[in-house]
Amino acid sequence: MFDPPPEKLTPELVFRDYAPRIYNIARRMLGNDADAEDVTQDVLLQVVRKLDTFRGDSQIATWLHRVTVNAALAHRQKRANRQKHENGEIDDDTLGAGGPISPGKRWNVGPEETVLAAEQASIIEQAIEQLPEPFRDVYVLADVEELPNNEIGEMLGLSLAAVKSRLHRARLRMRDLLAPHFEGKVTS
Amino acid sequence: MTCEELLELLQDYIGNGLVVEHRTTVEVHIRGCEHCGILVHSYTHTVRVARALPKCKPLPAAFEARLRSVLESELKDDKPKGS
Repeated sequence: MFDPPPEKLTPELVFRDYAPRIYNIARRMLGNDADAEDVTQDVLLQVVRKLDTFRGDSQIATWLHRVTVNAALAHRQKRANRQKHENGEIDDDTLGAGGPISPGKRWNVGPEETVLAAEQASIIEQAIEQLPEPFRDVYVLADVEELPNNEIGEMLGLSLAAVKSRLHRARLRMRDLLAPHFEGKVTS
Repeated sequence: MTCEELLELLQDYIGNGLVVEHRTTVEVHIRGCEHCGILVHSYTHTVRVARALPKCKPLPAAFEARLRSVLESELKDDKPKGS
C-alpha cells in the first residue's frame, strides 16, 4: 500500500495537528495554564505567518520544537523580570551535586509496563512540576519529548555534558518523587 | 566496579550507550549488588513512565475556542482587500 500524499500545510491543519503539541511542551516547561496558553498563541501565529516557507511536515515539526522552547524560555524570563525575581546564574547544584543515593525499596512494576492510568499520569505530571526549571526543561525535552541530547543542548544553549548531567540529576529527583507511588504498588 | 562508578555509567547504560565491556561490567555488578539492582530498576522505570506520558493531550476546550478565534482574526487581517 502506498502512503497517502502529504497533506498541504494549511492554517487549519497546523491548528489541528500542532497546537496541542505546542501547548503540551509549553505547559510542562512553564508549569501553568496561563503561560502555556500565551506561548501557544504566540507560536501558532508565528507558524501561520510563515506557512509558505515550509516544505513539509518533518521540517515544520523540527522548527516547532525549537520555536516553542525559545518562546517558553523568553516567556519565563519576561515573567521573572516582571516579578523582579533575581535570576542570576543558574545554579547547577540546585538538585545537589551527589552524595549517597538511597536505593529505596524495589518498585513493584513489570519490566514492560508502559501504559499509564490517568491517576499515574497525573502523579508524574505533578512530579515534573516540582523539578527546578533548568532541570525540568532538560527532562521534558529528553524524557517526555524524546529529543536527542545534542538537539536539546542547541535549543537551551548547553554543552552536551551539561545536558547529560542535568538529565541524570532530574531523573534521580523524579525517581525520589515517584517512589512513594510505585514502591510496593500491586500490579495486575 | 563500585556503586559510585555504576551511578556514573547509569545514564549511558540504560541508553545503550556503553561499549560491550562496560555494559558487561555493569551487569555483573547489578547481579551482585542489591542496592544497585533496585536503583537501576527504579531509574529505568522513571524514564519509561515519562516516555509513556501523552505527548499531545487535547487543548482545554475554552482555550481552543479562544485560540481559534485569534487565528481567524489573524487570517482575516492577512486577506488582501477585495478578495
